[in-house]
Amino acid sequence: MDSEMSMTSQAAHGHHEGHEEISWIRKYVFSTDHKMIGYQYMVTSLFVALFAFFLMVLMRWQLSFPGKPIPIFGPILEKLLGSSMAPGGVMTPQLYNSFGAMHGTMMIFMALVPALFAGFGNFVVPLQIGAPDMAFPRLNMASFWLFFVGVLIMMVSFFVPGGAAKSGWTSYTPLADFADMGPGFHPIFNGQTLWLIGMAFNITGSLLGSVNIITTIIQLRTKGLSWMRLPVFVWSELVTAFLLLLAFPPLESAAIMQLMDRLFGTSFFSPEGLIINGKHADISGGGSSILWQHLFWFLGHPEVYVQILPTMGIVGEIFANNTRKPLWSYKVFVYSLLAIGFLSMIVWAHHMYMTGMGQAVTSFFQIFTTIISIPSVLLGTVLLLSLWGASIRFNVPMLFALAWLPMFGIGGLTGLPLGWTASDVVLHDTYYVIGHFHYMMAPASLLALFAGIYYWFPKATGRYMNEFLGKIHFWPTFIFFNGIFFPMLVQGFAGVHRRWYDGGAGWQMAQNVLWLNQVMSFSAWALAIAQIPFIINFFWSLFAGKKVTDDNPWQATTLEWATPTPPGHGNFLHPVAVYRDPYEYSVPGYKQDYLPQWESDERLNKEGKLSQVSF
Amino acid sequence: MEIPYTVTARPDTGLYNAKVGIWLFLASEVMLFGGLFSAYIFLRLGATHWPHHILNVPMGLFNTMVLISSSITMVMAWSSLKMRQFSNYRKWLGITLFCGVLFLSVKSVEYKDKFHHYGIILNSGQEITGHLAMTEEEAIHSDVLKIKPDPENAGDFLFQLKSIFSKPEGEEKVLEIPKKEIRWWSNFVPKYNTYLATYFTMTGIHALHILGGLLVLGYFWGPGAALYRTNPEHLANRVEVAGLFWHFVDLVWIFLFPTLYLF
Amino acid sequence: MSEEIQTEKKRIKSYFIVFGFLVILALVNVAVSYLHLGGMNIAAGLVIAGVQALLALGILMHIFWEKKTIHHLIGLAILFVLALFLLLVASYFDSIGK
Repeated sequence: MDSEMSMTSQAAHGHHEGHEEISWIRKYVFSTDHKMIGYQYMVTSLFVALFAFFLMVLMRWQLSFPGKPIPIFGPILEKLLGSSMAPGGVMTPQLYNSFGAMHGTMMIFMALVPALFAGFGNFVVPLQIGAPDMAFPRLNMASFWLFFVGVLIMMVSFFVPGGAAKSGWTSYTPLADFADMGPGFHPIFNGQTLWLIGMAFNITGSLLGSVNIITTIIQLRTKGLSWMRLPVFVWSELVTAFLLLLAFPPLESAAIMQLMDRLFGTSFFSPEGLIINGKHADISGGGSSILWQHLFWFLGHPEVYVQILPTMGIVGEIFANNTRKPLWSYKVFVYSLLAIGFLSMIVWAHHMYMTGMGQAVTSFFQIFTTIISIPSVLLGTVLLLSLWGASIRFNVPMLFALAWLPMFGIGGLTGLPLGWTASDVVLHDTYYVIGHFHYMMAPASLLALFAGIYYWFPKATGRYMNEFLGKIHFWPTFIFFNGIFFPMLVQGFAGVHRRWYDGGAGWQMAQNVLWLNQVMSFSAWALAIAQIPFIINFFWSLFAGKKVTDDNPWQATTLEWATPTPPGHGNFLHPVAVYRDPYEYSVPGYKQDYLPQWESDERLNKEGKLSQVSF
Repeated sequence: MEIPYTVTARPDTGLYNAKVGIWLFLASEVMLFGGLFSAYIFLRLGATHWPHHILNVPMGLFNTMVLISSSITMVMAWSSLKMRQFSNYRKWLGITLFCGVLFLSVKSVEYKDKFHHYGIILNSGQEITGHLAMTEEEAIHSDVLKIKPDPENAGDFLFQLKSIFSKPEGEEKVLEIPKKEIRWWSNFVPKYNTYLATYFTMTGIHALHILGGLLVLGYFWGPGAALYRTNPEHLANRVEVAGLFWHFVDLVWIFLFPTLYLF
Repeated sequence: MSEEIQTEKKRIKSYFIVFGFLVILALVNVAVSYLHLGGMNIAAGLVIAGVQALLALGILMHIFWEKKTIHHLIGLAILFVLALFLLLVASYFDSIGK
């Protein structure tokens, strides 16, 4: 991983003024430079995303052709994980469960959030606010390495006796309290315990990272950059960081309590009279599994906004840039972000309608769940109306950003029936739920992730990514995402349960929709193939992509484009100041259709046109 | 490359970076302990039985005093630094460190006491607590548990105060209970019941915070204090930030003490 | 700078007054826990601890003199921790089969 990254920043080195000689290891591995840490986060999480996607690619085989050996990869699995996990290349239920749990965990906590929040956050936020670095560079390095150790622990857990955690990404108790225990399991080096330890590292890293991002945004905004002049991406990062900061710690305490349950035999989450394998569990009892669910979803729900908010920011940036006009309403956008952030903290128990909550409490959560859709719709509306009357540049970042909009729409609207008890009772734990949240987390989040990569790649590396390969990447990705997730909504209505390994009796009643399993699986495999152009494009462009000739290749207005390309240590060659709102595109009376934030009025008026970016 | 506002305050917020950072960190700490306290509330609401005054209140009170004192000495250490009285700073911070170590020592004595204290729940649901009249090894293998039950006034303040300094005197009856009449027995370790699970978890995490605070403060008392010669204001800021963490940890104890010892 | 030192000198007195209050309130809290007030025991204990917390937060941690950014941050944390407590308690009491 690091060798790849070192290449990325070889170019960055070119701009370095060379007065501080730091060793290779301090520059590329234990770096305190926010840009390098951003690349580290991005590359690590893209790798984790690919890995976690691969787990699902294998699971889709089991769902389409239950009990048949997996071609090509089956024997490899058998060799790697032992014949008890994949005898003859057939996926066992345990392996299916652990792949499912790890797919969710890694995708959410170790791929999407680090890429969108920490990867882009580290690279873009200090640049967009005109700061030389993050407020606490060494803390920043510590966050990355805590995250990285968390990833390593998760990866290693596949190879301990009994395999990785199997209790779902939610680790519901009391199942998770007693999973991976007993004969054949190590007391500490077992799947579920390592899951908890890995999560503790990951959470700690996230917390330090969000402290850093918020402090940076509050303290290091450059002269003239008042709150209502901040680019929307910075706003989205700010709200996201607050969600992580305040919602993650209760899960950390819950993880500690589950560790206590597993290591010291306490009963935080185990009720009295619990029977395991036909025997009374040797515990004091008195705990509550509902407590785990509350503490888990107190994070779990804000977590989905942690993923979607940065993508809103990215899409907002790219929309403004490529529609060549200001966002339809900056203020509505920002206040919607804040409202979503605030409300997302008090809707968590809509994941728990089936736990026997009473009517008053469910009403509370239904009302707020419905209310939170208002700012979400406002946000979508702002973006949609921003397209009105624009002469859109259909470059690759814009294609991805445009595709985000309908995916976000489907993901959001399919969520409403799950927010109301009457319909949730029917749809709970079916593939409908999977379809719904994947529309948010897979198509929406990932399309925006790609959009951001294509958009900021020229600034980070000094080279464009290839447009043609980008388009080859875009169309199949967009189509096959829908090929995977739309049929899930259909299957869900037919009552197909979300966690079953081979369908069991449930599939007997869902004969009509079972053929969709093949549609979804082939779409998933096609989606995997569709990522090859991206991987080729990424590495090829790194070394041989078209060179950027201007520091502001997209003719954008925000501050990250005022830096040299790629930015050196300390970012800006001269102190920058901000003179205007973030998206002053197509302002009448100027020769150019964009007025960068860093250009003063006098300068613009006097010259009648923009000066070049180089001072 | 200089990062702005590491020592001086940013004009519009009036704050230097680390102060924003530490308050954000403390906000997340509020939520961390909030998660633990909410677990305590939730489990206690659902509990059929919750022990009262089972911990040694005088010891807890003493530790509370120790932490309160350390809070004052901490703020005095920072104050001295602000007034550029370096030797006073070292003195006050030294006392703070001493208090922190004292707190942890008392805490570990309390933990050890609990590990030698036993509880038995009979099939009838009745609970007997006391000290074993046999070794732990014997207790595990024997069919009968011999236990000296706690006196009725074991929850009294004076009794607990005396028990710190001397073993309770006088003849004591020893109960012999066959194991087949026992539903659940163990010493007072986390798994004994939900109350002890919350007690050990919450105070354990709190103690880890104290330990972390001691490491940081120890650094500023020792090698970190060298910064005074080059940039005393920067050192004052660092000590203020470390102090805010220390105060917060004391603040958590202010809530832990009544919730775990008194209610 | 010297002005800052002057205010600091004035504050030292308040630190020791706070110390006195914290000690007394801790003693009161212990004493109250031996009275039999039923459910009021917990309420009284929490109120006393709350006052102690306010004193420590306000004076020892300088919240009373702190900038508004800090007030917002700590306010946000307290708001959400209360939301967590209240909603958990509410969902405990309002559940089917209770």
